[in-house]
Amino acid sequence: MAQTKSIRWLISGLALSLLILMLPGTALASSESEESTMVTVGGYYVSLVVSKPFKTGGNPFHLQILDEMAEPVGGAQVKISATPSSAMPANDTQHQMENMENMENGADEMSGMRGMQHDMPNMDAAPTYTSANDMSGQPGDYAGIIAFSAAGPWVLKAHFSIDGQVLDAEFPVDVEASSSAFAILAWFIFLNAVLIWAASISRQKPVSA
Amino acid sequence: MISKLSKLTLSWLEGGDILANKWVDHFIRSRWYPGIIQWPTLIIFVVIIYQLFFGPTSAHDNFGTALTWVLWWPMIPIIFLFLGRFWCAICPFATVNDLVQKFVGHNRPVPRFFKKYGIWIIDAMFILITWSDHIWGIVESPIGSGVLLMLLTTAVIASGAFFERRMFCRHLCFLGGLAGNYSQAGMLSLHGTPEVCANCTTASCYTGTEKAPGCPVFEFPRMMTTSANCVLCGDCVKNCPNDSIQVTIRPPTKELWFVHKPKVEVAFLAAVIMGIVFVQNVTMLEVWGSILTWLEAVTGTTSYYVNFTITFMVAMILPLALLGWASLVASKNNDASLAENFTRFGYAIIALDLAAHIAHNLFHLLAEGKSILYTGMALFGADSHGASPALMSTPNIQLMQYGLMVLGFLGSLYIVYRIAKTNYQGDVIWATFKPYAILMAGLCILNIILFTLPMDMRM
Repeated sequence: MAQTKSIRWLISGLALSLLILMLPGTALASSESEESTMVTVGGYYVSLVVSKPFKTGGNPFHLQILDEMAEPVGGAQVKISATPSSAMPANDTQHQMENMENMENGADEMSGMRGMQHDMPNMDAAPTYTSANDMSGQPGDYAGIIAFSAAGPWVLKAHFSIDGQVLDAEFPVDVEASSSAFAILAWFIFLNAVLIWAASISRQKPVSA
Repeated sequence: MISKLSKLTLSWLEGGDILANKWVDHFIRSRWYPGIIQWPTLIIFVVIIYQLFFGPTSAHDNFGTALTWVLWWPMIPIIFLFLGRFWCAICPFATVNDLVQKFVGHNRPVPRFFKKYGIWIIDAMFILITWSDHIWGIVESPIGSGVLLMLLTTAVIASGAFFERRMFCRHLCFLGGLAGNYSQAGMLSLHGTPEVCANCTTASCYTGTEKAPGCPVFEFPRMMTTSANCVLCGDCVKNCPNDSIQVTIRPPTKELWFVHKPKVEVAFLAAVIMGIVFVQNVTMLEVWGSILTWLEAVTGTTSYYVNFTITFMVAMILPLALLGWASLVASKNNDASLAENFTRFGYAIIALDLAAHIAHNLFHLLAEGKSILYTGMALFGADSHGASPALMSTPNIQLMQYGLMVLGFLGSLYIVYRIAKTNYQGDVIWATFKPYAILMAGLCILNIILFTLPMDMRM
């Protein structure tokens, strides 16, 4: 009897702890802070700026391109691809560039994508593409939205051409599961913890003799 | 030894007690049953929940989606056919219910409202869940599937925390309604031995003993006339001091030949399930797009909510109306009212339901079965690109679907005949039989036509 009572208290404690832990977890999931990663390619400084960590689904980002003198570089043609790290063969760069050239030429965007998917060694997370546009009024800044279909390590590749020079900048990124998924599950766990906690507390007063 | 086994096997097929085999008997009575199957199922359920929420966002790549909708959902009616409601004994929701109840359960009595209207609530929930699946794309969205499972988990936790036994499973689970109907056509039956139970003064099967709790779904084997609710958990076998409980094999649909107290809600659900199978088939057909376009032109709106809801309503009403028509015609030939005929002969649709449900899901299981392996392998970084998910070619699957529909049709036809023969005599039997035979033939042909058309995949 005493053992059952202590188990009940233990469950109540666990349920309450879960509640307390879930609240800041949910709040943290929605907090934002801008992060920047810079690489140097062909004398240009390319920075990937994101306002919050990448999640599965669509993510806004912007790229900043500066020249050797740290002056913003406007008018570049920028294409972005995102590929799961596990699906990145060492020598696939050329192939990806060809696909992106197809897209850029506008010959058959979908065939480029299909071609890319066809050679994908891992179907768990398909590569995605987007183009980054000049942000008006901010030369050197290029904005876009990139989608990730799964959590895990990915490689964001910025393929850009400036004055006839074609360059690639790679950014390894970690993609987390969508915070909405986390928030939904957290709220269910919260709700269930409340139910268990309420049952545990109110059970101490027997309903009937 | 061999001859003993052969004799035993033959006795099983003849309706002998499976528990007469000491190995089966020991297993069912052991404390390992059903836990040894229940706990791994719960672990798999947790993996599925994790995958649905945190795995790939595309259903095509999600292991949780594959396990739920390509493996579990198609297997469920097959399990009901061969093993009755055994799934309910090992269902993770039931395990969660029991766990919560054990530690914090209030064990309040089941509210009278649930007892009285439970099956109607189940009918409504089943319809609502099917409707919402199409409107919000639950199956196509891993998170949608996750939300559905978590909603059910929450309901189960609430039930286990405050009410006695498995109140949710017995009175509210939407799958329980389906299971209840299908298991009546199932091949496994648990029941007490009447002459032994007649002298029993303990009712341990219902109240429980130190060996096991009382029946979790409020059944009293002594009085049981149907397998609709028994989950084959084995608690009554453990509790019975007189070894009265038997588990026997019977021909499929046999229970439906002699339904003592038919209930209108069960007949209603049987007709509705047929409508749901129609909806599932129609919306997965490649021509569904054209049907939607036509509907948009007729209704003057492109709202999927409106157009799908109309399709859904038509599909639900069609089998209900056809059953009503057959009952009306039959009522002119026998003395029963339309409602009595509807209730009594509605049970006959269950065999066709089961066949159509298995046939529909057979496509998903056999045409997409390997996706379970591929999405599972992908968790470990294994490559499955370009490989076909099919376990069998589409023409072969279609042949199996047609075969199943014919079996279902024959099953339904025979149930109608037996019910008519039990209740009427002479020419009235055939006069009652005819409209229902036409109904079953119509439903069977409609399903076969749908199975001949190309169908989209789930994954």
